[in-house]
Amino acid sequence: MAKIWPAYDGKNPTSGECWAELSLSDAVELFELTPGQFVSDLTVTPRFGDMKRDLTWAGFKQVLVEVERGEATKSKWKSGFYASRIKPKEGFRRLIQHAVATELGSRNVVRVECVPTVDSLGQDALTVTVVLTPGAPGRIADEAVLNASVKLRDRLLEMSDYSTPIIEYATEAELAEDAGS
Amino acid sequence: MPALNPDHLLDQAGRLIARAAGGAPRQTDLRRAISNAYYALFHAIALAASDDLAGSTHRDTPRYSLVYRSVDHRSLRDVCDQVLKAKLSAKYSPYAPKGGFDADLRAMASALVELQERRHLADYHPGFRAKMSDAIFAVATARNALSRLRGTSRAARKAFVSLALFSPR
Repeated sequence: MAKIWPAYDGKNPTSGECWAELSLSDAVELFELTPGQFVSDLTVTPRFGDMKRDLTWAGFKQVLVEVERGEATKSKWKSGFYASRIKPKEGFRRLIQHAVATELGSRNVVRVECVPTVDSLGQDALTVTVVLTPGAPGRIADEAVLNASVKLRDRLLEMSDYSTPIIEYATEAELAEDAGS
Repeated sequence: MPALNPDHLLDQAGRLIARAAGGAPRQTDLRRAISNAYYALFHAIALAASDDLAGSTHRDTPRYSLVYRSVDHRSLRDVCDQVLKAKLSAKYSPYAPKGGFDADLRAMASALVELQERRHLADYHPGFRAKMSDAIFAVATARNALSRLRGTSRAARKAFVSLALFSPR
């Protein structure tokens, strides 16, 4: 497995748990990883920017992929940390999309968009718009729809995001109709 | 008292969606379908709570109505939020079934929170534009949540409805 870490610049690059654990092949695909992005082996915590300063206030600046030893021996990858070129905001969105598409089927999902909002109780929420391919609503089983919702919620918890997910489903045509109205 | 059949609410939602599919969909039809999806699940839980506490053979009694009407949206939301946490809070955990709430009940709780939010938008938000896909998926979510509620263990269902009715102190 590969661990996905959001990282800050400065002396304290991470806090808490990783965002997710994925198969190495999924991590490589989602985070467009190349062997050239290797930063350090597992014994060295990678740091970026001014290493004397605590820059956590500036938010996440990097996405790191940790390839464990066991995983590395099975593949051409070296164990250690890799710095993805994907920015944290986009990485977050891709991990949400990955959770949803795993259940709904990647051929049914064009993309997923995430926008912070508040729920009906005034608490932090995240509107997750799942853009579907034409005909997808007729192809997806009821069980998969609810499984996707559970998977999304679990993924958010895993990422220490406690906002309520509010899922909207739409095809491109429906979004275009909205934009035109 | 004839109980409101949650499946009939979903059937009605299906008819509203089918009517909307005939041409330019009416917002009223799509919004009502989303609202029905939530209420199907809400009434299924109210039925489960009342059948458990008052007994399904007493559906025509005032006591049954008393229990039924005691299930409210906010307390239901609170217990669902709890069930969805990685770990139940100390306030709720003594009332959970042995081994915690199972995956079916967690999925049902997730559906309830999601549908409640969609229902708020559909029923109250003037700017909300319901989409056909949204309505179809709301009904699919509710249909599967109903089947998971019915399929969950009796112990889990009883613990869940008790917490929905009585807030732990």
